[in-house]
Parts: sequence; structure tokens; C-alpha cells
Amino acid sequence: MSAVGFYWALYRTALKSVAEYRVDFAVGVVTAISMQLAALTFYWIVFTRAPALGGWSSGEVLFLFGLTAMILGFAEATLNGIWWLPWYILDGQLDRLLTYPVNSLGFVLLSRPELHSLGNFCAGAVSLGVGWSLLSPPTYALALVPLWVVSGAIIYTGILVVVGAVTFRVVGPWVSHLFAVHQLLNTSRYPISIYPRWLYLLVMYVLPFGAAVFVPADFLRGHGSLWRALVIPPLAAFGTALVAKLAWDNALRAYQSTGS
Amino acid sequence: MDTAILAESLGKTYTRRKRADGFWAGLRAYFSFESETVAAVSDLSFRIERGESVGLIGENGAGKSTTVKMLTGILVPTHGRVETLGVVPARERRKLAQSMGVVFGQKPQILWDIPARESFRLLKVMYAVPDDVFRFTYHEAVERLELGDFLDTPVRLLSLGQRMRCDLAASLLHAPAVAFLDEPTIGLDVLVKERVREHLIEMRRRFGTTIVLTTHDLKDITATCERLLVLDRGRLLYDGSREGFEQRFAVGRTLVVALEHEADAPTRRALEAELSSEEVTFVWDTPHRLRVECARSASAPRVTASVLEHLRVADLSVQGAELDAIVTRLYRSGKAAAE
Amino acid sequence: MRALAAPTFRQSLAGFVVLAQKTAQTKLTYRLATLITLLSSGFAYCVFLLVWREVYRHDPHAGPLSREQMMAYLVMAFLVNSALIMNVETRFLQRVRMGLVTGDLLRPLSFVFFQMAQATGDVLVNALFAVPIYAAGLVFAGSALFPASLLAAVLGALSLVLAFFIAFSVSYLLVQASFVLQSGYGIFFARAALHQVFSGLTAPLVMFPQSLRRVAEWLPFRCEIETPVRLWLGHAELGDAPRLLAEQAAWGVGLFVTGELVFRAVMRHHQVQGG
Repeated sequence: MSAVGFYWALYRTALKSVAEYRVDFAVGVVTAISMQLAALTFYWIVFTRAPALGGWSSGEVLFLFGLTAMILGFAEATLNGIWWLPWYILDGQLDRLLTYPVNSLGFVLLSRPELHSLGNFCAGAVSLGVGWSLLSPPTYALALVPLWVVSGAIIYTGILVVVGAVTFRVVGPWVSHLFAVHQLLNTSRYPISIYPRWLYLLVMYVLPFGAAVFVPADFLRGHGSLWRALVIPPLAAFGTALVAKLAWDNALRAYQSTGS
Repeated sequence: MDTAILAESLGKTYTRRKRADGFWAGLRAYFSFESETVAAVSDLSFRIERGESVGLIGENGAGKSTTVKMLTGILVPTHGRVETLGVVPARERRKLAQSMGVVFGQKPQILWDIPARESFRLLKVMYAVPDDVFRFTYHEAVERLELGDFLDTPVRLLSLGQRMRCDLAASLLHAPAVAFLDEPTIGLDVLVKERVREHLIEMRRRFGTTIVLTTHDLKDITATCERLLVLDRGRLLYDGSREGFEQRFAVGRTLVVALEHEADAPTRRALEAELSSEEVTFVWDTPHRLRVECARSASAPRVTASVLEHLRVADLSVQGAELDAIVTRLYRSGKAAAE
Repeated sequence: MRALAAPTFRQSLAGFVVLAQKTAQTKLTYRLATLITLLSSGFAYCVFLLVWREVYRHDPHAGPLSREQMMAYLVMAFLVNSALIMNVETRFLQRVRMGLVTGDLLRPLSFVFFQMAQATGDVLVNALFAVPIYAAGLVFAGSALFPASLLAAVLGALSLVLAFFIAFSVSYLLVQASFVLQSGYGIFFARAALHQVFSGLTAPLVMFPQSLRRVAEWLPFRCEIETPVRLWLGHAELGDAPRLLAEQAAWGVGLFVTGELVFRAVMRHHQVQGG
């Protein structure tokens, strides 16, 4: 209980600390929305050339896009700290963190909410809303959206952590390996049916990001059961979190600090 | 007494990737992953009892920080065994952290966009510090270290000295059983350094805190530690009391004499003759300054008496018996031996 | 006493070469990072390829380009895009943050020359990576990636040089803008967004809806990717080539001159402010 209290206090403090930069916040939100709009233009181009994509209507694809952006936004707003790991290590801040009686991974993740996350989340929510209205699924399914968003955010962060753990061995001021994971998000914006087999397996099972986006989408299109949409995303999230924890602990053991 | 820290043939080796200079070498290194190993610390054995205050000294690169990081659980040792407060630090890091306070000089805090006051509040929740302990540790620290003026300024805007004081207060907030202080007085002015030392002494008196202090300012150690661990290139050079260290490594003292007026040749000769039985060297620096370098065997009181008797002395001081001078000489000879 | 003299052309050139080399070296130090970035953006780009493949599978006449033409276009667009990734803005922001820009302004090399030398270094390393990708592309796509003719190859290469000039000039102008606005982050991302939509990275302009296409034609971004790729692959008629190249040159010169003018204004402002 007190641990939960601490992480909550930590997150609130971290939020307050990023809110110091008001202009950056506004700029970040606008920027994120414009990046999402840029991605949406591609949909526009494609759907003027084809009525549907791999059997998915434009509304269904919009849902994919919206859910992906909401997941990204939510992850950035809460568990974003992994992007700062290289700097934490280089500055020696991680050393200090390791002398605290708390879980180091939890601390790192919660310590740096991202300013522009709100833009991604809102852009996602609007797209999801438009897609939803075109699909008109049962209203009660709306209650499941938070579950999908949280599951997806945990999976996304989990993959970032597994890949980010490399930072402990190869220290440098770069995050391109994390950016690679970020690029992965592009896959869940488009229907899974257009992907070759290997990519399908990768996105659904190896890096189970697709599980949190495509399984719910299948349910909304009337192709999958409610049961699957209810169970699979959190299950995939749990699995990824577990692997991430193991990878983190393992990497900490190999940690060399900065020497001085 | 209980053992606070136990190290048995402790060692740490680092692996480093070789880097190449130059465009073509860089290109070639592109496809190779050569690495080399460097021993930072080797074969370190010591035991620190609870309530002791130990100064850990050594030159840059002697392995002080690596040692502290192994004792605190940040680094996993490559050889040997370490126990702090009865647990293996790297294995039960969080359990240990609850009773441990650490200051890393010059290393910034993670949340440095928030004021120190909020950091303290967060730390109170983190360590679950009881109110009565907090009342003492927090308010006393604010008062003694004079934090009041900048408690509401974001940490990133504080000067190094202010940040350091906040850090020290933060690391002792939960009245830890053992405190590791890595350069806690770096960048502080003399008055504030004095305050920091007072605070450490008070914490020790009140809570029986075990202190491990690494520093380059040996006055910190003179003020707060009775035991010394001296590291040299990753090995333990000395472990024992401060006085013992001074006796063992002090090779001599220098008597620095300021003269009222220049001594003539006969006077000089008379003085030198009188002290010919002692192992001393006379250096007539300038007309108004004399240095008498005394070996360890020489009797400083006798030398002083003779000087006072023969010369008109304006001022007089004895140098070289301080920890500073001994350690400096030790480093220098160590370096010479290595070369 | 020796009279003050402006650096000679040879001196400037030598400085340019050293800087470009130094930048390339730094980039090679982070070889793994560069490689990972390239591979992952390639992976993300695959998705666009797969989308178009699906569109053409469904309807082979989905657009004015054939399926093969479209695929060749996309691969080449990705290559040109990766080759032209320059870190002008990020490097500038980094130097501002570290307080090194004043030093850059005091060098005997002009600021724009300094930036361009570094950008050249970036592009050199990019080219080093682009060649194997092109080779791999040839294995899969075969002759589709070849230039349409010798003339097309020459025109494409020329156009690519101009594309570099435009991309650099846009960056340079934005660096000045960030000077004025005291913040770079937003501007640079906005450029990235515009670039992604209007450069023809994910589809050539002929595939765009009419209204979007009209906007794209009025912006310089298509000159960075679409123009060189079309010339290389022979998707543009040879008669159009002079016009396309002239457009590129005009955009390049216009943006460059604007950037330089803004730079001078900024410097004057700086001196007046005494900052």
C-alpha cells in the first residue's frame, strides 16, 4: 500500500516537474497532433485509390489508427522514463537511484512523463471516435477501451524496456534502439491481413503489440468474440511486463556504472 | 560490537570496448568488437564495525568510488564477498537501501526540476520516515545547513554548494544506520564545510550512524573520522587509526621560520653546529626566511629551542605533520615507485 | 604587423573537408545507432510498401502508375530519404544547449559553410549505408531499380545533388527560425510532418487526391524526393526534365538566400542586443 502511495507521489511530482515548461508543453501537443495528421493523410491518399484495404473498411482502419495513437499517448504520459535511461546512466543519476529502497524500473519509468503525449492521445481519441461511429459496435464495448489502451501501453513499454536494457551494456547518448521500437507502432496502424506471415507472427506473438490492437478490432468488426477481446490484451501485457522485468534485472547485474 | 561492513578479497574488473581514432580506423573498428579488461579494485579485505566513522582516501582512480558502489549494491563485485548491514548489497539492494544513505558528490538528482522541499517530501514517503525522526532530521538539517533560503527553488537552479547541502540533508533524512558520503564537501566554502562536518558529527552522536567518507579534503577526515582506509591503484595500502597512519607515514616535519633580520654567517654556522647531532637540513631561502627540514628521528622541540635561542624570530610554524602533507607525499612516492 | 586578411578560398575549402570528415567520423562512432535507425526506419517503411502492394493486388489499375513502377518508386524514395537525413537541426540544438554556438560563430569559416560541411559529412556516411540497400533492392526488384537510361541516370544524379541543396537550405532556414523563436523543437517536427506528407515519400504526387496534390505542388518538399526519383526511374518525361531541374534550383537558391538573409538579420539583432 505504501509502495503504491510512493509511486503515486513520485508520478505527481514528476508531472509537476515537466509542467514547469509551459511553452514546450503547448508546442509539443501541437507538434504531436500535426505528426498524427501527417500520418492520416496517407490514409486519405490510399482510400481515394481503394475502397477497402485487405478487407478492412476505412472506419475499421481509423479505429486501428486511433487505438494505436491512444496507446502511444497513454504510454508517453505515464511510463515514458525509459527514453531517459542513457542520460541517467551517463550522468550517474542511475547510481543514485539504485541507492533508493524502491524498484528501480518503476522509478525510471514514472520519472519523466512526456509533454506531447496529450496531443497523441487526443488525436487518437478523435480518430477512434470517428472510426467507432462508422462501425457502430455495441455501446458497452466502450467500457473496454481503457483496458485495451492500458494493456497496449504496458506491452509497448515492456518492449521498450527489453530493448532499452541494452543501454546498460552499450552506453552512449543515443536512443535509436528505442526509436526502432517506436517505429514498430506503424505496423498496428494498418490491417494485419496485408502483412506476410512472418510479420503477422512477429506483431501478434513475438512483440505482442498487435494483440492489444488487432484483437479488439476484430471483435468490433464482428470477427472475434468478446471473450478474446477481454482476455488476450491483458494477458499479453502481463507476459510482456514479466519478460521486461527479467530483462531489466538481468541487465542491472551486468551494469558497470560510469567508472568514476 | 556488530559488524556494519565486511569485505573479503573484494575485486572488480571492468570490460571496455576498444575505440579507434581516425576515419579509416573507425571504419575498420566498425566490424570488430575488441575489448579489454581493467582491474579497478583487487583483493580488498576489511571490516567496519557499527558506529565507526571511516575515511576512505586515495588518488583519483585509486578505486574509491568503485569500492563504495560495491558496498552499496550499485555494482556487483567480480571477485570476493561483501556484506553491508548483514546482507549482500547487490542481491538485497532495496532492503539495504532502507537503512542506508548515500551522497554522490556532483551527481545530479533525477527530479531536478522540482524544488528541494518537494524532493524531501517525496523521500519521506519513499523511506516511510516516522514523523518524529523526520522532525529532527529535516528541521535540524534545514537549520544547520542553512537550507531555508532556497528550499522552494527548483534544484537545477541551485549552485553546486547549495545542491550538495540539500543532497546531504536528503541522504540522512531517514536516519540511516550507515551513510556513504562520496565527496560531500566538494565545492563548498570553508564555513559551510564546517557546518557539514558538524552535521555529520551530530548525526553520529544522535543515531550512531556508521559513516564511510571519501574525500579529497582531508580536513573532513580529521574532523569526523578516527579510522582510515587508504587505497592505492585498487589495493589497500593502509587500514588503521588516523594517529597510526600519521606515525607510520610521517617522514618528518619542516620548521618554517620568519626572521626579524638577516642572520650573519657566524650565527648561521653556530646554529648549524649546535644541531649537527640531529638529522636536519637547513635551507636559507631568503634573507628573512629559513626552513629547517627535520627527519622523523629529529626532535622538533630541541630544534625549535635552538632556533629561538640563536635567531631573532618574527614568526614560526611547523608543517608536514598534517594528514594532508603525509598523504600528498605518499601519493607522490607511490607514483614514483610505479614509474 | 601583419594585415588582417579574410581566409583564402583554399583555406576555407580545407576547413570544409576537415569538418565534413570529422562529422562523418563522429557518426561512425555511433555506427550501431546509425545502423539501427536505418534498419528500423526501413522496417517501418515496409508497411507503406505492403499497403500499396495490397491496393494493387485488389485493383491492378488503382492508379496511373503500374504496380512495378509503384514499387520501384517507393524503394527509391526510401533510399533518397535516408541518404538525405542530415542532423543539421539536432546538432544545432545540441550546441545551443551546450552553449557552443557562440564559438561556432567566431570561426574563420562562415556559419553557413560550417553547417553545410557537417551536412556533407552526414550525407557521405548515409551514402555508405544506402549502397548496400540499393544492392539488396536490386536482388529483389531486379532491373526495376535501374535508371531508365544513361541520360536518366545523369539527370537523376544531378537532381539528387539539388535535392541535397534544398534539404540543407530548408534546415538552415529553420535553424534561423529557431534562433528567432528561441525554440527549435516544434519547428523541426512540423517540418518533419510536412516532409512526410508532401515530399512524395509514401506515394508519388500523381497518386494524391486532387486537392492535396495542388498543395504539394506549391511546396518545396516534393523537390527533395519525388523529383530525383522520377527522373532516375524515367517516370518523368525527358521533355519535363529541364523544368523539374529549374524548379529545384529555384527552390534551392530561394531558400538558401532567404536563410542567409534571416541569418544576417538575426546577427544584427544579436549585436544590437549585445547578447
